Amino acid sequence: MVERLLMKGNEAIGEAAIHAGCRYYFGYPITPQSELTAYMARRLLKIEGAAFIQSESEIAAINMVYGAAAAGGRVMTSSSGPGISLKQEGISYLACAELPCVIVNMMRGGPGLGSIQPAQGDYFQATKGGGHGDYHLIVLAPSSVQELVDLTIKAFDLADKYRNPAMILGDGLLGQMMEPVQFKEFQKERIPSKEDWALGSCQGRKPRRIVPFNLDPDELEKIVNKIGRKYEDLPKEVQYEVVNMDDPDIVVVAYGTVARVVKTVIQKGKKEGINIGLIRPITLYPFPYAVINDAANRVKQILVAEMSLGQMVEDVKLAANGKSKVFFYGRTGGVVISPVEIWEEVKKILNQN
Amino acid sequence: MINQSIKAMQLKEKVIIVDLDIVNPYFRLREKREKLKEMGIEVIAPPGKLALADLPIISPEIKGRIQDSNRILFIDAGGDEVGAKSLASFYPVLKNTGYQMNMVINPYRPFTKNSAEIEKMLRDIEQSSRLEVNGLISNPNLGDQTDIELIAKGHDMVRKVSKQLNLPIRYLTVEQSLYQKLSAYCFTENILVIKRYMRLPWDELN
Repeated sequence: MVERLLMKGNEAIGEAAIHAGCRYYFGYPITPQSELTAYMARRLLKIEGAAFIQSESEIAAINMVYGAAAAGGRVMTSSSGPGISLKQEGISYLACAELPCVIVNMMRGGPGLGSIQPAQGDYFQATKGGGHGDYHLIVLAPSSVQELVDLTIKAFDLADKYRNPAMILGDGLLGQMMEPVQFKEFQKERIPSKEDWALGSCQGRKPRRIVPFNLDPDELEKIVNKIGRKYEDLPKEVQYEVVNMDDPDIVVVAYGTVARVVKTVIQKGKKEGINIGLIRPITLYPFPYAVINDAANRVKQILVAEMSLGQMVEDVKLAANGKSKVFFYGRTGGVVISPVEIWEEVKKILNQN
Repeated sequence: MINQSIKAMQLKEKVIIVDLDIVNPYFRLREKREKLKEMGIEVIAPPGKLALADLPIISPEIKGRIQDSNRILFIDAGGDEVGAKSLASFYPVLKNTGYQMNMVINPYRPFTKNSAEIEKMLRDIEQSSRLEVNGLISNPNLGDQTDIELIAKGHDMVRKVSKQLNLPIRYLTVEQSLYQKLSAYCFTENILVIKRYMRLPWDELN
């Protein structure tokens, strides 16, 4: 039987990364993700050949990630809000150089230094390219501690497959809460060989370089177009969860922590005779446009609930393409939306329409 | 800690809880300060907005309260040897009080999965706090996936440690929904039936 453990979300990400073959971690502590840095310090230092560095800053950490990724290692960094903002230049460099890595953002209240409470205000930054230039991150949004495990492992696989940075976009609550988790056996063979592009000893081959620039505009355009073609392929990796979608009166679209809240509201709706469906995007980039478009053909109202002023709602509107009315409910500052609030919002929308 | 305090209060003791958690930013005792106050339990924690910060604040009144022998004072220090460090500043006043220092053990947590890890954690806590652990609280659980078999298996591990280190088990904690099923096992230790006060935002909708 696979051993079960009671883990904090942040600890679970760390163990999942090690499980997936990550042997390099560089980071700087910030609430509410510091336990991840602490966990990696405790674990990696006991693994032969592994490296952990608490860097002098987030900027230093992301550039260390560049180095380890260029050398072909599975590497991770993590932070929250302000720290992720500091990493943006380096993330853009990683994307241009086509270097795989995993970046974890356990979101907190923003903008600015904000608060240390959970939030979802970094959706735009994560999915639309928070740094400069034409690039995207692969963005995965877990909703439980077990999913933090499964999606962290998946993030490493997708990053390697597409040679692109991948992000785990969680929030403080997911990072701090404890739930039981299991780690399935990981086959090392899943990690692809990087011999044909990574740096290292150039004995017997020509020296290589991995750089995030090309001064010749035509050559840089070729690089950007090559990166762009990867993003055209990404929709096949779309992952989402649907709940109670057989014949819903209204559909709620929510991710992460808020989706957990919606599931409680669905049960309340069943008792009160209101059928509430849920579409939970698990990949935020690529975004599950098709399933939402399909829902828009079937229901008149879609409610998007986020712990922000309204960010994912823009993608939902694009997906619905005017075929159903899209409403929004949000809280910010680190306030977690309660089941009562969503329930009241659902009733208000259904009564008015 | 909340459950222990309530039990002490029910035994007509005057109870104060000190939230000395300088490690965890969420799920801290201070979040239940008002509720506990209504129950007659005073909580000492950083005041006002400072309670919402991730700063290692140690309230100045704690020392005086430790010396007040008319009350039972519970100090909740966060999780591991890092959290226990905050206790070291009270070593001069605590050492002569006949304090009880209990290590809460859940063998389903990382870093306390077996007797060797538990002993290491215990020694690290003692070193950073300068205090001696003189009792154990057996708290085997996997959150919502806890069942009686799992408690029994985990508790066996704590018993093993208790024997090895010659430390008494003060309580075995059991969540109230599982209490009725306990009779299948002959636990000889005191049972502390606990209620979960720290709930998640999606747990309830009235």
